[in-house]
Amino acid sequence: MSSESKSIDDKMEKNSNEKTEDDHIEEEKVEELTEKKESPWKDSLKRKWYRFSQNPLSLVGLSIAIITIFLTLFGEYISPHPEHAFYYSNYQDAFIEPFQTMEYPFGTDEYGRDVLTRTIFGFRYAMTMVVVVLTLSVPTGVTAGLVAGYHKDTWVDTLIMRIADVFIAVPPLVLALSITAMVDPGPMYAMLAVSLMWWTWYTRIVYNNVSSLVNEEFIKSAEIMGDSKLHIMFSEILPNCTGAILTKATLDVGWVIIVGASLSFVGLGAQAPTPDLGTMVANGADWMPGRWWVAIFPAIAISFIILGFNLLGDGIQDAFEEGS
Amino acid sequence: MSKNSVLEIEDLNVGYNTYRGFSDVLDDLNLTLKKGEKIGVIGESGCGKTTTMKSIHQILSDNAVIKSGKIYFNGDELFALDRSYEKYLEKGPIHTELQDTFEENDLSVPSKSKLSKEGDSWAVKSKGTVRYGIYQTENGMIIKPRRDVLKMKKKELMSLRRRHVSMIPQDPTASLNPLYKVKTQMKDVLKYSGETTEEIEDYKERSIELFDEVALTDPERVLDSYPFQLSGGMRQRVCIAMSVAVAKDILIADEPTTNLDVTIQDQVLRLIRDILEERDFSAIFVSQALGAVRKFVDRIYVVYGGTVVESASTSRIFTDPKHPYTVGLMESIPKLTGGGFSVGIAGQTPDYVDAPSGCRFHPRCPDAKDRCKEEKPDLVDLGNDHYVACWRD
Amino acid sequence: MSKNLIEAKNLKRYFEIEAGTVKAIDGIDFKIEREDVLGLVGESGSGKSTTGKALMGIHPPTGGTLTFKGKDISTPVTERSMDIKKEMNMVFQDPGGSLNPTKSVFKIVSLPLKIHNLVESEEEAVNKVYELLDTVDLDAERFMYRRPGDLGQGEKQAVAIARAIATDPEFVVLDEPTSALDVSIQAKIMNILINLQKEFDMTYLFITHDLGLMRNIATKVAIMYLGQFFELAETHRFFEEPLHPYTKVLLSSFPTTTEEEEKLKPDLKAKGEIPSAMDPPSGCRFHTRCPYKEETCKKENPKLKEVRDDHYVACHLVD
Repeated sequence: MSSESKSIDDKMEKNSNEKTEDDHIEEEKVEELTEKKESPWKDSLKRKWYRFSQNPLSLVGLSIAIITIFLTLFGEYISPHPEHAFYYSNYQDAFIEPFQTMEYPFGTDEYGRDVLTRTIFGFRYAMTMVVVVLTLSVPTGVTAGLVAGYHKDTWVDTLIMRIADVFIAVPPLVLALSITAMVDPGPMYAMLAVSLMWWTWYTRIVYNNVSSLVNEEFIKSAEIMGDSKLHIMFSEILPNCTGAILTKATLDVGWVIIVGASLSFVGLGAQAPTPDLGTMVANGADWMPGRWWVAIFPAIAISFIILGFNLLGDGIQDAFEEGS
Repeated sequence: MSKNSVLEIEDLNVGYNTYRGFSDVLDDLNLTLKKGEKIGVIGESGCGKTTTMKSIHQILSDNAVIKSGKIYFNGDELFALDRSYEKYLEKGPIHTELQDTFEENDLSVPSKSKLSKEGDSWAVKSKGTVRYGIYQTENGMIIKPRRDVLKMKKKELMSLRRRHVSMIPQDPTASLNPLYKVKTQMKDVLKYSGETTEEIEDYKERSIELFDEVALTDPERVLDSYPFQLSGGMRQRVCIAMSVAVAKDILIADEPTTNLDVTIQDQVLRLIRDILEERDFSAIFVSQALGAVRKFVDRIYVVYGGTVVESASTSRIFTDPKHPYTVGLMESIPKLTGGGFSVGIAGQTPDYVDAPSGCRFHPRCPDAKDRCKEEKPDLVDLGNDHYVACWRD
Repeated sequence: MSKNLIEAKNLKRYFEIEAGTVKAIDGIDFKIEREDVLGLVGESGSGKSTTGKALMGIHPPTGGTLTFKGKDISTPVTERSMDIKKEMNMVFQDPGGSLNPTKSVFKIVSLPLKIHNLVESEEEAVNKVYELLDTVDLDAERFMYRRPGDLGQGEKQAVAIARAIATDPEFVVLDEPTSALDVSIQAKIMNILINLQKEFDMTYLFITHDLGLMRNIATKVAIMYLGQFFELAETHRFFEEPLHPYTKVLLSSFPTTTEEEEKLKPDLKAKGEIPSAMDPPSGCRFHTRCPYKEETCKKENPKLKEVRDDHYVACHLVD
């Protein structure tokens, strides 16, 4: 085949034989260029940051998210009474009101434990759940969505999406309740239960994204050249979905926390004395309204985290919107 | 200000705020549309013609900044004064009698307006801006409002859009609401155009009349359809019908046939021309394709880099183009007579965030000289109403 | 080896949709010889784009035969051999849509090289991509690692062309490659395409609605209307003696810029809208708009027959 028509290779060889000096220059350039590979990322990031920062609320969300992560990682080092976090009792200091002393700014609970400290520790538990659930559900959900979307209108699509439909149909709380009711309650099972159906959301989102992209010409072009299906799905299509996935994941931080807190509230999540925010609200509810601070501060913490990540999620969505 | 002109764009400077900096698109753009004239505004993508049209309608996006310039709109004559009013035309505040006449005719004269002579006509000025021009004619005097679109407030703008300037869009699919049937949309247009219900008793009848004019067969069916049920050519015709529904002063056609098939394109263009001639509109045809507007406009303005680089009568542009960009453009068009392809025009459209200095075309011009980099050339009259902005002459 | 690279006999492609069957391609025959440029002209609904996609396997034929160098290519693209995929490629109309917005130019152009194992190392890939961008007149240093979003329309299309010729294909389908471009950039790209064809001895199927482009690049032209061919001849014959009424209508609607061109245009206008491909008119599909229509035109669909030397027309009124 190629012996009959002059191939590009032949032409290039001819050219390179004729100009040796240019070859040297080319070699240097080639090295330079091979190293330069990272540049498109930076520019793209700059653009996204510009769009993100246009809305001051997004920056507020970002700050809250940073604070949350900080407290999650370093909470135990900066909280005033880390020893109060789990088992501790000092009945003399029980139910101290908040804003009275510097020692217990948020007051103390029924065991004399510092509410502020426990709230800070609560961040860690909340975020742990988020990390576990998302780590389990995002990759599975995204992969399922990619495969289903790329094989749209075939049995693969039907199979995957109908399974997803089954799981979506059950409200997360109900599913989690039924699962944890069968085994000993505990944070592990709560997290697993939630993950079991959480992946379906990602499948849905990615499926919709992929279905619309499948007919785009750059995908057709990859098929024409002979690219493998796997490569097309993960290397061509997936990068175009990152915006949607990231936005959803960020907003999900709030959702997972609510579901987790709800589970804990009904006693199926972390058990006392673990400083889980939901558990703390549940316990504190018994002391309402007189000793309001035991429940209210953890509740505010929950709202704080959710608000922050919601704002952040909105900002991320703006950042990924191509337009200007 | 000339009494014949219906739209005057004067030294317009518009730009956009982007993440990379300020995109300085329009650079002292000047354009005049005379009454009854049909002009073509030719330019490729990125030349600024869309920005200009949007400025006229004041529908620029949020990040647009109008740095300076004026867009004067001289409406239809409102009424004629007889010569007896001459005695009231003196410098100074407006005489009460004149003021009464204005008010009788529902024209607002801002307080502290002054009457002053401008050349051989008069102007009613308030706060330094000409609000009305008073021109002498054989039969008397006529009063024309001269309003700067860029300074118009909401109400005036609405009136402008409804009664004076209409637009045929580039993409009829995007301009028609897919959720409503055509008859609802036609009704809206007729209702808001300001004609009272006494004059248009039956929107349907009027719509059918209009559809007949734009050669839409089976107008009843069209009225009863949704836009997606119609072909591209038919949608465009509906848009044209909407634009000419009520007598207006200016029609702006923004690349009206780019999305249509070539045989339909021809039909639609001829249709627009016939309608224009019948109604004596003044019109602006915006297009990329010189060939498409050749038979339909009297005068052509060639726009590049946000400014007008050449303007002349249609025949002159085609037979004797002067500006290197115009020449390059003409050569790039593949001819039915053969001859292969020209090399096009070297380089690409300017990056408005970092626009070339002096003449914005200089990086791509085969004849660029030092002066071209330093100074921006003004439009020079070469005689015969042929203007070029280039240092070569 | 036969000189026909592509042969199609009674090619058909129907689409089943809810409202009915769209007969996008309804029985066409043609041959494309090596190093030919076959121009396919038509308006919307003509089926020209579908023909290109049928050849490439994006919309495999539902009837008739289609061969490439004697091998059957009526299969979908995913089922074709790697050899064939290396030899046949396509450039699309929309420069933005045909490039993955998340990938750099280097990644886009080097992909085919990696798939077909034409390069062994990263350096070799960079070298090759550099050369390819050079052949399409793009400043490689400037653009190598940029993303499509930073490029102008003409530049994007040049990248798409560089990618299409990366594997040194024998056959390239060009589906209205310049319709989305400005006139001055169109000229540049057309020049690049012509030079590439000559330099690398490629064969093109050039699809467009613009007769001016056709005149200057195609060696043979086929006029398509609602899934069928109306006229097929060598390029100069079209402009010297257009025979089919539809061809004349097309020519006369062409927006010209010079007096010489005006003289070439016949004065014939069509009436009405282009019918839908789902419900084409009976008999000759053009009869609803043809100024010359007669009784037979409504009843019988004329076949493509040779009326002059190597000049085929499908019309009852032409002999």
